[in-house]
Amino acid sequence: MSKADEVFLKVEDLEVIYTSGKKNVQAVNKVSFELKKGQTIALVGETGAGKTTIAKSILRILPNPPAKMLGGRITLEGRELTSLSEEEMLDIRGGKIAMIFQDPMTALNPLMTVGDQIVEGLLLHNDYDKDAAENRAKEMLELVGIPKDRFVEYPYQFSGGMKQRVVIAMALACNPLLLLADEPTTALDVTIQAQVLDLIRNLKEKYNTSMILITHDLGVVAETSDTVAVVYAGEIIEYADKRELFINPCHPYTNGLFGSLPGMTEGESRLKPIAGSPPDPTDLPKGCAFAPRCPYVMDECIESKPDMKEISPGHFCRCIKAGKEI
Amino acid sequence: MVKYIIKRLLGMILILLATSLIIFTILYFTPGDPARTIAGATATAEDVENMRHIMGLDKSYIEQLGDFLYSTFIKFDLGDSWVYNKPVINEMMIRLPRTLFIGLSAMALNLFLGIVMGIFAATHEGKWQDSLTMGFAMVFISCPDFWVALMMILLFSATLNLLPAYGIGGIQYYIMPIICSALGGIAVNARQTRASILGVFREDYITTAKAKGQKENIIVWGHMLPNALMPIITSIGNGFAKIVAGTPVIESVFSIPGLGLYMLTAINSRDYPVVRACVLFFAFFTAISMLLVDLAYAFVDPRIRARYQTVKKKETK
Amino acid sequence: MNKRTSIVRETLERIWSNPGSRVGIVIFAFIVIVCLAAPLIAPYGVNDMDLANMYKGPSLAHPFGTDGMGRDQFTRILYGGRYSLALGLCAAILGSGVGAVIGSIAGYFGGKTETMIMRIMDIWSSLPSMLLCILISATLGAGFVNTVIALSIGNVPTGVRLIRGQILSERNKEYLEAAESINCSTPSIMFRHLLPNVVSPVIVDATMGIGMNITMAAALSYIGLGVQPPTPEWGALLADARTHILNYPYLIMFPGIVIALTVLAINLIGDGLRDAMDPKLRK
Repeated sequence: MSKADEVFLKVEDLEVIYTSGKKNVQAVNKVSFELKKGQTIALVGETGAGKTTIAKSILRILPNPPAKMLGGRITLEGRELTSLSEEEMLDIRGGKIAMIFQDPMTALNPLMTVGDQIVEGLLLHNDYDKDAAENRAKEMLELVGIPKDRFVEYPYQFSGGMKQRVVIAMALACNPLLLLADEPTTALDVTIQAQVLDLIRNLKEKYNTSMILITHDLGVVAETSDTVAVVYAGEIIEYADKRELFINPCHPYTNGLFGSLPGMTEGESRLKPIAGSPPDPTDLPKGCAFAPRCPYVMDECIESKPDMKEISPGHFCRCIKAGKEI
Repeated sequence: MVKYIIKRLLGMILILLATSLIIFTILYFTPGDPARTIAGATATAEDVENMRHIMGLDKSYIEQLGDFLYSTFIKFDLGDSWVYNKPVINEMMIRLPRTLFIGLSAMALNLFLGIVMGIFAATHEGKWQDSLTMGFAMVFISCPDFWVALMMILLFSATLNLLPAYGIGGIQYYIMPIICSALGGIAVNARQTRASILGVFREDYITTAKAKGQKENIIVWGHMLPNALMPIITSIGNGFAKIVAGTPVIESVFSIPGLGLYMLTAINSRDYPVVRACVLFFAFFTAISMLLVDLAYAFVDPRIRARYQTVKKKETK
Repeated sequence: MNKRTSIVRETLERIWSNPGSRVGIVIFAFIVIVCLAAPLIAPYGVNDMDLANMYKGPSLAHPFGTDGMGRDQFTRILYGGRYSLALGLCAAILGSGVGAVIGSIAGYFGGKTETMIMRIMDIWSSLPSMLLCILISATLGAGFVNTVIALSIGNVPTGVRLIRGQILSERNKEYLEAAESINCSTPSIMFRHLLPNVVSPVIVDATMGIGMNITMAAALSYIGLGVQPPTPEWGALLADARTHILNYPYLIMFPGIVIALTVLAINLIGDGLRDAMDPKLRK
């Protein structure tokens, strides 16, 4: 019990910028969150909010240049990842932390058989010989519902959903402690989405893997996660237990996200889109990043950035009005 | 796959036939009378007429063409040199190894150095190593190869006395010709390799490989290079053709009695059977390298491989 | 029309903003101007012999030295540049132009016409271009026009392939259908609509072709074909001096350096042009 409650991954004050020409883009701004063993945190937000950047900086695979990690600490099981050498990181990548990418069509090397691509990771992180690795890879394929004789086939011979299964098999082959799933279902057909999601959830439970799930789909969040962090313009603006967040969303942006979700039962006939579009990341507002789109904006919001406030135990929100009556 | 190769080889025969037709026609219409040249300056009109008859030049264009194609492709006889009255094939066999040695070594150098330099530049993109490598490549693309050859003779033979300037003998005679043949191609390849590697640098599957914990080196050579290889292979193929085409000039600068120089001399002395045989050989060699290039595409890319062996794939599906 | 000029202008601005091609343009412009103005600049007449000053090394009076007949090498290089540059330019325009026309026909009509043209090109290019060039040049004999023809013949297949490939990718795009639907005639579709859209790789290829042709022309002269001495074409200067390489290296050095510099400038411009015309890099 105490073991499960231990903080397993801790991200503190993560800051990443992208440099293009003379402009600096603040992609991730002082992001902090925690994750317990076996649990799932969902990072929710619009495209370009910085979710993928957060995941990639945990693995330290951000393209540098243009990306640069300015500060922050990432601790996995008490080990500080940011201070590890590149060699030590090689063991973490794919071994302790694995990632599932957004677009299965491009995530696989088109010139290698899917089998070899799974084996590649296995050989890197285990003491397998080639045969053992191949057997394990075939096992993984079966586990994700692909006949093992397709081991020798190339990515072009697979459909999108099948490719994503391969990517999942590849990610889970080395029993990682932490799985970074970057919009794992976005590029797939709706019917396939549910299957893939189920697959990830089952495998995760089976191996007691923790997961960071990146998505913009609140439906996926509801099904899969334990905790939710809402990301806007590189910042976490609301952070809570899933149940708490769904019942009691507090930030106007989170409210807006729920408002733009089609309901099945309610009588509402129109979706409520969030007015405006995300701020230009090269020119973020001085105050609250959401202020220009916020229906409840006040002068204070524009002048200074609101702090993260704990409005109820475990529920944090970055809004002046949080916890007060609107 | 075998089927594909056979198909391509048949196509090659057609190309060679067509090349023969072209080269024969070009030479047929070349102004000047070979019989007069060969009979010599002192020959009488009657001598020349006699010569024309012996050489078969008094026959019509069609007859001569027929004779040539018949003896070349049916009897596999390249004919006798008009100047030396000896079978062309004998002289070719003596000279072939020299030309082949220079050509193949230059190709190997082209392939290896071009790719290594390109990868070196790409992995140091934007740094001074990149600028330096690409600067050198640009300079070598721009220098005429025969002039580089002359400059090398000046430096290594005349000034430093390290390498022989002319002729053949031991391996040291071939060093400069090989380097000069390869230089331009190396530069082109290096540029192409750099561009294609940078083109796949940000591909998702490269990120996947990184996320797996693969080492930088293996990612570059095992993931990036194969995916970047298609245009590089094309450029290598072009480089091979350039090396073949540059043979006459390079052999002429270094006075290497190979096929290229044989052909040039024969052009000047209007020894057409020799010219035709040499050109055919060069065309054959080019065609073979083009076939190898196409096979290399299939070797690298399973999708192309699948297209070559469609029959087999349908069975398994 | 207005929009087209703005594209041209934008392209030119982008080439100029690329430091490599800017250097290329400056060098190339300098060489062209100096060669064109040869009669004004050259210190001696192009064929002025001075038998008292044979094989003089570089000096103030003769910056690039003199040749075996006491002719001033600097003067001859200036005048020779007119031949070399004209050879390169004419051959590139002729070769790429003919290639573009044949390629457009193949690409536009498709079907049997295309297959036939492409087969012919396969045969045409079964001989590497330099080899073909040597043969044609031997057939046609020496001289400026003959050399231009010999050089351009080797360039044709590349031009055909380039433009056909480009047309293949453009052929099914909607603007062509639109043009057809308002009853544009075939030549009008080909030349007014299709060609401007596929022409940029050909322009890049032709630009690079100028440099390549200058080199090839020089090589031809060097092996005794193409333009011959006493025409001061750069390759012919090298051919003239080749027997004296060990004794008078400067006679080999300077024409070669000038060729290399010119070709380098052209390649730099070509590189800049390619980047500037790449729609993927636009904006």
